[in-house]
Amino acid sequence: MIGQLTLLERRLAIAITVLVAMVGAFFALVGRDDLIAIHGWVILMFASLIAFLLCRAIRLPIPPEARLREYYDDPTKAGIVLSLFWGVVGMSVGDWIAWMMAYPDFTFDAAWASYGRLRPVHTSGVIFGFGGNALIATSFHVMQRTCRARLPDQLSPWFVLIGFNLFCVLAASGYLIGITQSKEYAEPEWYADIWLVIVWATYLVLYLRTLARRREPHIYVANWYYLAFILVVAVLHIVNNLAVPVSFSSAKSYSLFSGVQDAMTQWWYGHNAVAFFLTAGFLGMMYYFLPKRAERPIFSYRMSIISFWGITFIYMWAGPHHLHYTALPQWVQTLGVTFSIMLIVPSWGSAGNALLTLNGAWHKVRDDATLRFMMVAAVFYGLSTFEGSFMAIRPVNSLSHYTDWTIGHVHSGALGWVAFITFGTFYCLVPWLWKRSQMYSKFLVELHFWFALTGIIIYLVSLWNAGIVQGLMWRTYTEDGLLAYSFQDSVEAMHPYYFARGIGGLMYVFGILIAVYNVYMTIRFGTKESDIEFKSPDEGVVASKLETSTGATQ
Amino acid sequence: MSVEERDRYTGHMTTGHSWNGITELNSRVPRLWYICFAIAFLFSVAYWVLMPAWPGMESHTQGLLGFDQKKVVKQQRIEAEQNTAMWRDQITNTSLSELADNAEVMTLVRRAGPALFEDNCAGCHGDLGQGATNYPSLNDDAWLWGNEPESIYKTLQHGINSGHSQARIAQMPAFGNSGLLDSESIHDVALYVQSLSNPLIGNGSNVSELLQVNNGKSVYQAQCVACHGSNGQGNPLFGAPNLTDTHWIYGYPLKTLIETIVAGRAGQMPYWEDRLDDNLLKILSLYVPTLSEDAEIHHSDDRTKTDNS
Repeated sequence: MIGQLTLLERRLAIAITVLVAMVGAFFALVGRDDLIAIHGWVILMFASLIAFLLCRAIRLPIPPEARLREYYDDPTKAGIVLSLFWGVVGMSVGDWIAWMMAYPDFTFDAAWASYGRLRPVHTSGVIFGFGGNALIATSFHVMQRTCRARLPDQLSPWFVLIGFNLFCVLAASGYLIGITQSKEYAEPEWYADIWLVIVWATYLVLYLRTLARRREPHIYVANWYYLAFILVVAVLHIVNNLAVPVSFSSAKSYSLFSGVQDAMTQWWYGHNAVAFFLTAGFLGMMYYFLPKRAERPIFSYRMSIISFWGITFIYMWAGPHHLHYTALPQWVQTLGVTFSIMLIVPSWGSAGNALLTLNGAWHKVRDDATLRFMMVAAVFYGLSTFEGSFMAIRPVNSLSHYTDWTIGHVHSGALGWVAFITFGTFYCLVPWLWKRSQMYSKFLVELHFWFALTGIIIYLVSLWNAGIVQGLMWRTYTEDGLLAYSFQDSVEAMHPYYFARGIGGLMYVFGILIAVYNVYMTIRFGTKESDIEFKSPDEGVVASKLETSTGATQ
Repeated sequence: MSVEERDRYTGHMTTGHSWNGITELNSRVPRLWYICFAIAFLFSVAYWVLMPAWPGMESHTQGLLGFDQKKVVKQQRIEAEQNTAMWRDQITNTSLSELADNAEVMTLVRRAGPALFEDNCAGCHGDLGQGATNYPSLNDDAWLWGNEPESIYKTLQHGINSGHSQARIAQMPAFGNSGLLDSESIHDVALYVQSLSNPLIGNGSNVSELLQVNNGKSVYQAQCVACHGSNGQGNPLFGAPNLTDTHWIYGYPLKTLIETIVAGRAGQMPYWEDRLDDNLLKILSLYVPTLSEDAEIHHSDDRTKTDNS
């Protein structure tokens, strides 16, 4: 893969890794009395390893000019592998802590294995590690095809991908050793946050540069969604993480916000992370891979556009519904409720647009588990956006808030929508990128589909029950006007539901393990015949005016 | 290159654009979309008119309903008090000893007690009051400050070593760390304390042990009697535990006893008068003694296990 880089790109890459390694060494040295030193070492070793690989390959022959007439897919391939790796880690840890809920002694008395440290490893692992890598990888693929333009250079996609994974490593390892700023889904501390800003800005510039080089007159809707994802996540990340570090030798920082302002900023971030990371980005994925796989035109161009603007505008206001019945002023809660209600319509517009696109291809949905993954994803997208808006209504929220219903809702979106569209996409992409006519085993794709779907249903049904039972137990009074159940009673009542949830999660983890095996076998072996049968899904030629890129000048 | 085509399946025209083979139909947005959005928007407008909604420079729109969640909470609290009115006055105005004799009140106590106890006390004392290492059991017959509802009420109100100005104070001095006793005396007195509840220790069959126990006894008489009494029976006035029974808070092994004597003990119980309504404290004071009654009936097996620890 390094052989594809030009000589200049290789030198620049070495310079960057050396610079990053020096920053790591700085933290390891000045922060030696603090936890940050451990992260200094992590950064130093991470960068040194890459620098070593680069140096070893520096004398490889210069890549031929012919490569510029093909799309640049190496970072996408690496992104898919990394995404699956983080998926296995994040989902396994998730199921571990699910069992911990049923059997609290499952922590082995070790600090790193306590629930509070493992939970963010699970959430960051699946959202950023699995989801983020999938988004980065597929966005590189989609923007090149829909712009009919090669990536403007070969270094920045690698910087984005590897830099993002360094952020993920810092996040996950930090939680285990006790580094957190205690903001949900924004736990990493200031130095990791600053690093992500650098990576993300590069990502945005890369995307815009590719769009600027496009040879299609119009920008396809998938790119609108990907761009909204990149742009808004940058804004959210920067604002919510505004903080003052104690010193350059300390991992600890203090948020710029406090009290209810802090809570509102956090949930403006938290909800829009759902909106722009887990929704907009994956809608971009869906708008490319679903019609591509179904070989059907998008049902309605106009509905794509109206739903896009509906989602991006309305989502921004919905955050306060995470803070109903709190110190947050009621007028803010009102806006949160009403915008959440209005949000159903553009959300269902997108889900409907996806499902109606399948008109004329339903026989393919029946026969092709890959397309069925995407179809079910659209259904779960519709269901969980409806459920979310429903739970945002104050009286409903007074029952559901703080219960496991919320956890169930999140997983209906995460497992049913985000992960299903990703699996469907990967099952399309892996044969395309590695030039196979199909996946190694269609049966294993089917098996994965049914394992995952059964797992989700067990998971959701058990947590709906758990949440409603909890909510009712907490508000039941005796004839004397006193609480009928202690909190502990409600915890004990959860055991069977938590047990069932653990089973559902286990089935889901088993599903992704099947996927990993199937992807590995496709990449490694494929079949000789299938290689001959391979038909490229790409049409037309890549833009030829590439000569301005860094690579071409070499 | 923009060529519109008719889609054979739906009959709609495409927009004429193609992105790597993906096309889009130029079909209308279904009317249902607009209807649903109109309904959602009108619902929102109505909500904004009725409820506090949009911010202005000085304040925010108050809404026609005059709804205010602070008022709602106040109202709900009043209702909650009304729901407890039927027994509240009786409990407020009656002494604990009288309440304990009232069968109707005790029925209420047994109904309300478990949830109250589990929410507030079980974290340390266990859901059945069985205690744990370092946390006294409440379902046996060993009591540091007595098991009359009045004593329990006082403990709940002010706590033990809690920092409250009227807290019960109970501190076992650190005889070892303060240099009051040398390690040999500490060992011997610990052995003597063990012998108080275990007739097998210092019974004469082992001469050196007998000598140590005797030495321990004289140390005990000099240092420990003031609180634990001449026979080790304890004293509820100081919260000094009885040393002759088989109930141990910190543990019975010699090593633990030596730790206790070397470093002292000052167990803490928080005070509850700021956190729980006085009536609820009374209910809990009446409920706690029933734990040992229930334990006699249901949990005699568990108890023997805890006692031997």
